Amino acid sequence: MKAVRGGAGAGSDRTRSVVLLIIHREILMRLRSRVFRVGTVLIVALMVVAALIASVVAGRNTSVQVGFVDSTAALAQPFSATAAALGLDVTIVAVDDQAAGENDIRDGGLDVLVDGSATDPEAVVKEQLDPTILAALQAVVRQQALESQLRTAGLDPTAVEARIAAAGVKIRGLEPVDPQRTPEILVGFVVAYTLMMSLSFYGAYVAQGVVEEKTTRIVEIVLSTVRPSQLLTGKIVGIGLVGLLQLVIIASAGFILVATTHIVTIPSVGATALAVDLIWFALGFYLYATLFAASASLVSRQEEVAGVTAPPVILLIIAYILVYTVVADPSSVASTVLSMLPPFAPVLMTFRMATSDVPVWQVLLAMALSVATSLAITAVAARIYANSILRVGSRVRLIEAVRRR
Amino acid sequence: MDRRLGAGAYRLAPNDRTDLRTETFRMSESTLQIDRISKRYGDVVAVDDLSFEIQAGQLFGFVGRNGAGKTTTMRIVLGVLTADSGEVRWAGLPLDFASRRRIGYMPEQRGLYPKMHLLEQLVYLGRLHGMPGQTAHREATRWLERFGLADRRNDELQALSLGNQQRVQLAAALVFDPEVLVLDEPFTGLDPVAVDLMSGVLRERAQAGVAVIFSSHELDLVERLCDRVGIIDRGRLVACGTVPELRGRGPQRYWVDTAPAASDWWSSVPGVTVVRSEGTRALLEPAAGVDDQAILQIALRAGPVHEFRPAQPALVELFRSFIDEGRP
Repeated sequence: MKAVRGGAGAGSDRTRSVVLLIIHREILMRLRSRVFRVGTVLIVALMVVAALIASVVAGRNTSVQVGFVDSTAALAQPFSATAAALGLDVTIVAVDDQAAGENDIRDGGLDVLVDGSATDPEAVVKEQLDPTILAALQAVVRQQALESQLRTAGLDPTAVEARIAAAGVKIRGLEPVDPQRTPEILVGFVVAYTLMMSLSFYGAYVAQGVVEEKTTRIVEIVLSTVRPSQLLTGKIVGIGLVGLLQLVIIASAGFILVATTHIVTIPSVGATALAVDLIWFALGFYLYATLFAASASLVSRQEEVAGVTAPPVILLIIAYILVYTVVADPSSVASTVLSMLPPFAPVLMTFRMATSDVPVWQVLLAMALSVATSLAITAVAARIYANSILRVGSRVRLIEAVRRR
Repeated sequence: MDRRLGAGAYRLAPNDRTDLRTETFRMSESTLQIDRISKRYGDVVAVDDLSFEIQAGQLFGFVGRNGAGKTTTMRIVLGVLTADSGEVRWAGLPLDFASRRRIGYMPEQRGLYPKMHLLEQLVYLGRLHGMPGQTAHREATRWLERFGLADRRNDELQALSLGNQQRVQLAAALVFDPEVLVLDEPFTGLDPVAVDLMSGVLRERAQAGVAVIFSSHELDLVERLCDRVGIIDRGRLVACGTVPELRGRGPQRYWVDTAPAASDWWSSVPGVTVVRSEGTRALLEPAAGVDDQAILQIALRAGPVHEFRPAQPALVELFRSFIDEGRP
């Protein structure tokens, strides 16, 4: 007779090792899948292509070629200085005569030709003159006219300019002004959008994994040795980590591309803010993945997944739409309450944190509520999972699924 | 341990209390006891007050018509379903989550991960059942070799033929060296060579002390292979024991082969019904109290008797006599 093996083991150790095994398998299988590898490479490749196109388009437009003939050459230097002060990127070109300059403009080699005289210049363009270039040119010409008038009146232009520069208006704001509010709203939208998209994408991934186990019937063997809650947790954590890895790869590729091509300026985002956003991704993922898994376990065919997982997807879309309510006043009572509600918190709280100063207690409370809700959903989801996972064929009604087996 | 212990073997006289206690103790040490389990789905009773035992080292054949309750019973044993009432015990203790990990299971609807490689799939299942990584790897390799799949260890399961997938399915139930094997129709869809392989493995596991229960519709195979048979009909156990014991529960019949000339000699025997006649042979069923020697004497008077023996009905015939065939 065979001796009874000590298979029982300590409960928590056993749970941990089982969940770790499931996590390991999920990660291994997802990383091996073509969807993941090809998908990640494709997204990064698309980003590279987009960045290249953007930098080529941007590169063509950067420097404005401005030509000066001999009679207007005196304006070239002051123009260059004024343009630089206005943040314009101009290149000064010396042109032989008016005819040559006009030819260059027609060829596209020159954007603006300044001819005529230094006191009465004429700007020749192909179609229209960029208003900022016009403003710079006018400022130079007016400055020169002013200086010549001052000299005629016997005044020292340098002294007058110093007096003018000293005169000014002081600004006194009654409330502190947020100098970077616009870029922060942009960051907020990007973060909220990324969260919504990634939560629904990886949530769908979890749903698909659940149904896969049902269709392949492996679940009957696995559930004879693993608790539904363990299987659920392992699946969610494994797929969540893979999702995080893919997000990190895509985000790193994005940062590297932006840093090397300078196509857009990224507003500086603090490391703390980024870390908190990642925590919100994790919390949001936990909450939504449980919802997706529970919904998906009601059906047994991949074709039915989209229909049955509509409720969590709709919740995410509502959360994103509510961003437009919150943006009006991130600190209002409505914004505060909405951003605390667990299904909306991951999207709305990150948005509020990006666009305004949110009291720490509100963030912590929202996080606590989110975790508590996730735990409650996990318990219900594990039951739905256990009750409906053996039912193959027609969709299981929710009420039946929640009942005891 | 005597593997040929029948159901009747431990049904002792009420006054023999000492032996009863000893027997119960030994039984509970290494017996899978299904004790009065019931399960209904709405108005449908799937399993109705079902009880039987399988001892370690025994091969138990579980037979019944489609929908009789075999799969439900097995799922209850595995804890995949919960019974409405009753209990399943192993070694005297109610099965719980930890002790169920010592049961190898082959579900009716086969299922493994289609995209996982054979070896890693078996290692994964072994480790889920609590095996250390190295042991799981060694055992998985051993079973793949045993089933002739060693060179395909790194193939995806979905690349295999259905027969080979079934071998992997059996390996998945065996890899962690279970003490109990529960196999739901393991022979379905196998070619004759695979049937021999499967039978050999089941026999060998039983000899190694594993309690094996499997369901099947191939009654000849069950009769050949099993130590004991349980027949289930509409959720109730209608017969349970060794095949000879089941025969003993039916009416005793006799095959008689006489000379051609005396083909209807039996009409002169009182209290005998002819169940079937094939040429000069006849299968007779005497009424209760009719002496078989009297029948033989009448037969001898009619002419030479070439054969006179108690009939040994095959399991398939016994099966028909136990279940209610009137049900659609």
